[in-house]
Amino acid sequence: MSIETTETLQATPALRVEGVTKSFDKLRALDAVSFEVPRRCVVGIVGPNGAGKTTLFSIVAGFLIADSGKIEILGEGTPGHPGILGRVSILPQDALFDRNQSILNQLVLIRMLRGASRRQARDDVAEALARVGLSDYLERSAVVLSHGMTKRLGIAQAFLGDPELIILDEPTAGLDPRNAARIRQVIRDLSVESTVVVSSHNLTELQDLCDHVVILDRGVVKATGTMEEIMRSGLRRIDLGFDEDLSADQTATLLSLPAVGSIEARGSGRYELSIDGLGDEPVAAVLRTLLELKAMPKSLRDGSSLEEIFLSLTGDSEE
Amino acid sequence: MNWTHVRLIATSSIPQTLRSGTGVVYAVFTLIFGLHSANLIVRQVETLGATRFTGWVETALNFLLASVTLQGKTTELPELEKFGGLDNIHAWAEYLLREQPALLSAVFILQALLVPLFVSSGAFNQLAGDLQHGAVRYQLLSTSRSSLFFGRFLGMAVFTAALIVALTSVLVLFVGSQLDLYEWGDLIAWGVHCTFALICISLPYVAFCSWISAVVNSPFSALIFTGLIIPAQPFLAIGAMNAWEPLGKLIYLMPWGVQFWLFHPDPAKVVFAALGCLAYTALFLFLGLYFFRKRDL
Amino acid sequence: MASSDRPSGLTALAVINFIFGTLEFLGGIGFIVIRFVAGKMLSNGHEMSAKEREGLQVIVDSSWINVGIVVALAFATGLLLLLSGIGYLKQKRVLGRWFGNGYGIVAITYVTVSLTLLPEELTEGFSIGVIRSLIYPCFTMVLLNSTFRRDLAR
Repeated sequence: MSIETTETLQATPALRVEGVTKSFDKLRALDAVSFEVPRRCVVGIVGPNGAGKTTLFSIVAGFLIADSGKIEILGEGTPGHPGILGRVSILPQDALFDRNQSILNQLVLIRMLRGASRRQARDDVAEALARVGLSDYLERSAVVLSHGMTKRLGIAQAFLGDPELIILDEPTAGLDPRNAARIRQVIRDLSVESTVVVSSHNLTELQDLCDHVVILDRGVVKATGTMEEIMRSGLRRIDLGFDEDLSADQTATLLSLPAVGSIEARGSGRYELSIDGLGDEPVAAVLRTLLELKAMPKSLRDGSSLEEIFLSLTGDSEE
Repeated sequence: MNWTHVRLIATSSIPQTLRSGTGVVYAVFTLIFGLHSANLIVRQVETLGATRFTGWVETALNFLLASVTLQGKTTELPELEKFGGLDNIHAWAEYLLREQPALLSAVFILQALLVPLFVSSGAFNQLAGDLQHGAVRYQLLSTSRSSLFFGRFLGMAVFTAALIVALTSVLVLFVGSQLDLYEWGDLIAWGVHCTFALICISLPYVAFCSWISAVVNSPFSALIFTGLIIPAQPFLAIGAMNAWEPLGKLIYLMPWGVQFWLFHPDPAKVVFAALGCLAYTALFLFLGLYFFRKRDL
Repeated sequence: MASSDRPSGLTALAVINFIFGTLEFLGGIGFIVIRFVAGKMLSNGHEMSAKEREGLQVIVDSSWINVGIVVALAFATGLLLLLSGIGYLKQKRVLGRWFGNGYGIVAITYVTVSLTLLPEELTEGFSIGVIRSLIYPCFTMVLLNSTFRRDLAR
């Protein structure tokens, strides 16, 4: 493992994916996927079913071998490189814990493989399970756990030994809202010092949780960037509410603005404007124009949700 | 490959194999059938008497050693009176029965035939079960595939060696304490040699099971493969030799054609056989690791 | 939530217990049958060699009480095997662990007593077969008190 200064640590991405392609027979699951994950942030991988999220995670984790392309983890090398062992962890989607062994024994082995002594491993496992509320199940088999508890166990395992890069494949899938919220909180609490890459179908959840987003569709990266960039890069919409309907002249004036693409009346003085352009300026231009037209809106909501952007980017892909 | 990881995985895999049931069945099967088969031979001494017993074993040994060393078609062997045309085999059998404790030789040669069968029924699930359920994925980012593969192999090899040591110790102690036939010194020396030989024999078969277990996703399929290939291979090779002699070389696809040389009077041949077993082990491990590293998990 | 966290090893032990338990019962019955048939063969003047006759006579001369004790121990061993097998499946502390250990002790006693009380013609004396029949009880006790200790706690 190379010695990294703070500067090089920040400069080197936690994960760099370059032109990764993977096919299963005739199905191309990933097609020249490229993106970077900066250090110490939470990154969401968004995509419909079959987008290639799990395939991508499996390649990063070394479960699957890519047909072509390059992956660099923590600036050290490819999956399986000795320099990254113990510094990366994953919550796999469909993997089961060994039903014949106690949870304690399995996690102690994992922790010891990540460099701890047996005593330290036992302490760390006990602490990790306490954090996810599973202290009573140390000596039990994982088969007695409910779906939500199993997810929490998987997350405890992933955060064991404070790895630098943690990959969570749909950590809240199939969970009730209370358990999902609990797991989100666990991820927030535990991700202070680590880089977390998380996939989910719950876009509201990712919008709330992530700093960066990669939108994947049919094995192709559709968009990547910070949450703010993504939110502003899509088809931006503004919802405006007035005391009364706008006149035809007022509507035409607004439409003449370069930033305004279209105006749709939603009834009872409510309008939805599609906006081209990033930043505050396009919205400010609309508001200045409305001020000149003496039509002051009583409500304004700027920006689309991640879900809207996702749907606009992935089009007719099957969910 | 990280040797600390290999050791950790090996030590954790032994209780794991017991808790999974495979190890329980393996241990019970090996010890009970191993002792049972030995008992059958010991009882032959009582039934036939020492002289007739030695003659009976000599014929069986001649046939076995001539077959596995491809010294003639098995269909023709019984016609050779006491295999008189096969001096080397005759001398080999003489060594086992006259120069070494004959009873132990007979018992251990039988174990040499059975150990591969025991291994095929007990060592098949080193990785296949964990691959099927994905449990192996939790370890893969903390260790390398090589460490995982070698760790599981080493754990199973040590477990197998422990079973063999238990089996041979019981047999040597029994023959020494209950049957007043041989000197303790001779028994212990030959017992140690045969234990070493049986462990050498077990290694390539454990490695073969590692290979199969690493490329097959289901323990049941792995059991079918190992349980069919290991016992059937020498019969197929010797049967094929009866049809066309060069096909007999197929016996060397597995250690069957080499392993009995571990009981040969010539030390050089014993060393050669031990190295041969290690070479088979290395080959099977290489193949297993090659496919395990290349495959999707 | 899944209901059972029984390791497969305990299931395997239980299956082996059921097989060996049945064999122990059959073995116990076998003692009675051999003792009975030997008596019949001798009294019917069945044709046999002098050595065979001598062997049968030794069996017939063995005390019914001794045979009864050994058969009772065989049945007790078989019963403990079957009950502890059920205990393993249900992961019970008493029925599984205690009865399993009890089986180990009774089985060792059974082997020792049968060697002491019965003639060699019935037991074949101290042989590798005897060691073989001690393997499983010892192995069971080791496993129950180490590998599966925490699994039998209900």
